[in-house]
Amino acid sequence: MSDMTLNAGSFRDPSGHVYESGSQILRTVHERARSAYEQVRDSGILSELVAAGQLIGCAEVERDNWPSQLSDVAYLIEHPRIPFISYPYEWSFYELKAAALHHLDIQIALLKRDIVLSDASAYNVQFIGPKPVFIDLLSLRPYREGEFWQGHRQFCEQFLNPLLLRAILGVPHNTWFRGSLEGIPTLHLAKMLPLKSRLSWNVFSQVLMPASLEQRALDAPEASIEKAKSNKKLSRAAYNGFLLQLRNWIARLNPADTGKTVWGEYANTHTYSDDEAGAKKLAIREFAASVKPSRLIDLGCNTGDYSVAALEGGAEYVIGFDFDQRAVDKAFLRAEDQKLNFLPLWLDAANPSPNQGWKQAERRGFVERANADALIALAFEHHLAIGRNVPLQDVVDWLVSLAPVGIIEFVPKNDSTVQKMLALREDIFPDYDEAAFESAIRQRAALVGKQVISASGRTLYRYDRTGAR
Amino acid sequence: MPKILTSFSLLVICTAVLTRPAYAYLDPGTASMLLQGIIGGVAAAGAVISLNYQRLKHAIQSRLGRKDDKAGK
Repeated sequence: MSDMTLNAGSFRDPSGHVYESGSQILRTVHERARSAYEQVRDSGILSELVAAGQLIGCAEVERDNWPSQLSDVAYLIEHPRIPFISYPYEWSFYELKAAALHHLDIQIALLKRDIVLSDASAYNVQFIGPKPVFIDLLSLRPYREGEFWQGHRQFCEQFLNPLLLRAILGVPHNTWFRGSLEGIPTLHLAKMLPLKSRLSWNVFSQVLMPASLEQRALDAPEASIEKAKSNKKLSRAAYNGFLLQLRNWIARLNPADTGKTVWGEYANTHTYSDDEAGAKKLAIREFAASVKPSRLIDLGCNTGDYSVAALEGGAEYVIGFDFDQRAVDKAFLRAEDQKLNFLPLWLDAANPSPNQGWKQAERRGFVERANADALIALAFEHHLAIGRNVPLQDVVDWLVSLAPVGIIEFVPKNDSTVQKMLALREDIFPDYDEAAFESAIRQRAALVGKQVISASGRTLYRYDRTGAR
Repeated sequence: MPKILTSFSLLVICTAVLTRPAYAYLDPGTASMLLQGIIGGVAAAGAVISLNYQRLKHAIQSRLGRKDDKAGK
């Protein structure tokens, strides 16, 4: 077995840690967690959840195959690798909602088997395509009669509150969550809610009342500690009641700025008869067919038209990124509806997700995770080069660095989209032209294909930097 | 409409319940624990109602339906 590296995000739980060893993902179960793990495993629920795709695969590694440095742990578990680790601040509303419902469904199923989740971290849910999967095996532990739902506050701050931000106020959660990795504090959300929303029992019981209690607790004298300690136990029915209340409520939530018919609108507002789009789709299909990438990044994926073309061409898995939360929502619903190997995520390419959290390593940045075989960036570069004033050379440099082969679309200045971007501002881009773009590509990779796909001169450039330059 | 009335009634009841002495701030989960202690009963009742709602609705509808049928004859 090759050298093991501790996952930088795996330090909180003393029950065990996650390591990477070559292509393997390994999880240790420490002696202190042996009994809980064995009870959970022997209940049979693990194999049921894994078979249903709700829990990441778990296979105990034979002790003979353990690395020597792990001799003092109780168990070593191997998990399959997730194609692309994503974070809740990169999810669209419907992805966060799917993750929240997944967490609650697992909790409800577990409670029937006398098992609970010890926390409610949104980072414990990952996506394989549009399907959420729970990844933290050691969060599962036996239920103790009368215990409170330990993860309630965390669930509210990492799932419920970000969803309410969009569902009640129409504000996407992404940038706030990214700056506040533990989620959106209930106290802060409560201050923002309009009067109308406050008359809801769900809002009152899950936001306003907890916020009020938290404020009282902050202001309370230390003598109140004993009162908190003497608090009554929580019945199993009440525990289950909280889970059901949140599940029923969250299942009905939709973004305030899009309404319920987001997927239906998609079908009505998009046309597939456009010649330009048809030529682009064909080019992407052919590219994917020739490269057969196991992972392809689609930058500026919009609602996923070209991600789908790449999948049709032979890409195994596509990770799409877009700046528009509504586009990511639609792309996700499409992937979910059509069961595509496609995960769309929110990204501001001019300010991608950074390395952050503890030691600035707990949550990895976009570039560190963007380990793809191929890239498509269609109608994308001008949003950085013109929209965000990033020098064209830097844009090409960054794009080409993301994957060894790819297709980048150049949008010329006379194109109506660029003209709109320049309509109310000075043109400070004298060097923005096709010759400069092509030169930038040639400095970094071999130019292996070029295809004009619109009357305005939009051109697809195919690059390959696998050969020595 | 009945849903709004139910929500409002619960809101009033819980506002009354909330007029208690302040609690200590043990950790960020303290408020959540206190909340569960206060409205655990409501949550449990809600779960029972939720689980039996469809059954109850069906029973009422079928009973009313039968009466309507008789009235129509």
